[in-house]
Amino acid sequence: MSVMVSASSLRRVFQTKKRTRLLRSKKQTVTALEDINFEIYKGEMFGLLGPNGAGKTTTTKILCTLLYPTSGNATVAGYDVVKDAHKVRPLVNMAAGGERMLYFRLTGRENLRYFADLYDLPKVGLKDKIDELLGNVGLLERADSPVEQYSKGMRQRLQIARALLNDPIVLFLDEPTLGLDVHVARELRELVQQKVRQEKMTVLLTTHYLHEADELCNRIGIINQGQLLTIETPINLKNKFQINPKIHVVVGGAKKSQLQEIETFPGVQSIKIDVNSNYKASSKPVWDILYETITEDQISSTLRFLLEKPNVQIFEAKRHTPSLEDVFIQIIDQAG
Amino acid sequence: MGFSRVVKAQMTRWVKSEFFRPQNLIWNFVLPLTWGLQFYFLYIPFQFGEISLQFIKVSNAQINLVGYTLSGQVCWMLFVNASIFGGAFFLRERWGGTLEVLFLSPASRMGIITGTALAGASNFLWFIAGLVIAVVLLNVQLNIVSWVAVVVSLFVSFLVLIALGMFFETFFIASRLGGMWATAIQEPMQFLSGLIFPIQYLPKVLQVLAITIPFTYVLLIVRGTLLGSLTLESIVWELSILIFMMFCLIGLCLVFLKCVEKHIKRHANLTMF
Repeated sequence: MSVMVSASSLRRVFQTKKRTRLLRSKKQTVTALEDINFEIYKGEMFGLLGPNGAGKTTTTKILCTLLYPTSGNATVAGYDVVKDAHKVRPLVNMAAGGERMLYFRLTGRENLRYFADLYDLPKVGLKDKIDELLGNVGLLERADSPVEQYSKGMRQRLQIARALLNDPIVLFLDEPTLGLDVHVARELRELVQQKVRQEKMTVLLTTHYLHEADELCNRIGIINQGQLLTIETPINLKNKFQINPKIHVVVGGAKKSQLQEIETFPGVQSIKIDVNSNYKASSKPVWDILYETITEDQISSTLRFLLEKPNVQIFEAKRHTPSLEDVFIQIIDQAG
Repeated sequence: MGFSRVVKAQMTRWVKSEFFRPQNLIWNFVLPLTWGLQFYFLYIPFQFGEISLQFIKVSNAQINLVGYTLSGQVCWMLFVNASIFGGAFFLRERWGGTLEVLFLSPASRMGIITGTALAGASNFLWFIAGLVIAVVLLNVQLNIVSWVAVVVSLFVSFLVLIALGMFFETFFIASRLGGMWATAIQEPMQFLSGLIFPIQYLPKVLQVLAITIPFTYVLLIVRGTLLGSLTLESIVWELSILIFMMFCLIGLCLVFLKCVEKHIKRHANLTMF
């Protein structure tokens, strides 16, 4: 597989000023990226996950030539993003979340036409191409309305259309579904997936939504405080950072003394009132008993104990499979 | 990449999104009225002197002060629209996050700057519309002996002010304080160029400073040809200086733009926050 994007010992330091007195300020250095190394292959969808301020956007901006790295190298399609920035720019594009990067007083069609001129796209067939893109993002009917009259989801869809306008071989998506409702976010994800499949586009996706990365990405890098902690496929990530299986047992009608006894059983982590429960146990509360690091013997002994009590009803016992979110939290917590 | 296409795109976008905004009408109709009155009354104490600089001497006796103020204002409004607007323009681009898209694209940076200066200057058309009304209402007497001189002086002035606008915009695009700098250059420019104060009354040091400003020559040739009966021959020297300055400004733009892009990428100031 050919490498489409690479970062080698990438470092970025920001100088900021902190006001100490009325007319005095002190220079501060913030390290946004520290020794970042990764490669993204052609046609791959690579996710960069991390908490706020982890360095996701800085990495994206360096790779799409908007920022210089303080040190280290990065290439896109074999071109250095600093020395050959002019060769990189026609090959990439970027869409960011949060209703930016569009001209609100222009219509959707005018926006795309303007950006097509900036990319010097061939004028022949441009109108059809713009219509096709607008159709792909479901905005053809509203193409001639000013963007300021668009909803948040429509603006985001137009931004994706803008980012696809120059048929980039590498697309950078910086939190593209930020603040969107589930329906629109899913539509955008499907659109991007379709483009990646059809056109073998390489995508770098940064997101806070872990399920999104889990669903879309071939590989995921987790970044925290400017350091890339791990790169794995979503499945490997979950296996590698194996989290102890958890079991929830939902019971009703239990007395306080019985619950106190259960609390002493091995593996029981917590007992809470399940306020959102769909189950009803006369006037008594429904309890959610959470077990962790539990063997089959242990669970059967506690279940047997509960079954022996005539007043206790067992509504449900379910195994909680670790999600990418659990893995993410564990990795970030381990990194401190 | 596609310089002329970028210039055209930038201008088209401006006309579609900004030209008919109420702010533009206020800026080009209401503000010039107050400015005009300010320029007029500021000049009254000096109108019996002689308006001159090293290269031109125009007897003030023949000059109608209203015409003098209005012709100065024509130049000023063109300067403001071509130069100052760029500051506000790029400030808005920073707020909207669109400056990042401009720099993300392979579009000619010089094209963006030129397009912005020309787009800003297109606002000037509103002012011209207002000016025609003012000239008719105030019955301004022009004193033209050579229409060729008038056309040439206006054309060269336009080119120079666009170049000056491009020069300033190179810096406005690089700074989050571009909008503030755009406002800050207005007062010294008015003061030193002879727009609101005759240059010959300035201290010598400031007079030297005044002759380094292109706007000073623009005012001289436009006022001189419209009101002072100047011919093309009598303004050749000023025209030459202006054309030389225009090429210098464009050359500086080309050099500075590369430095500016590096500065922007080093200091990460493409967005407002």
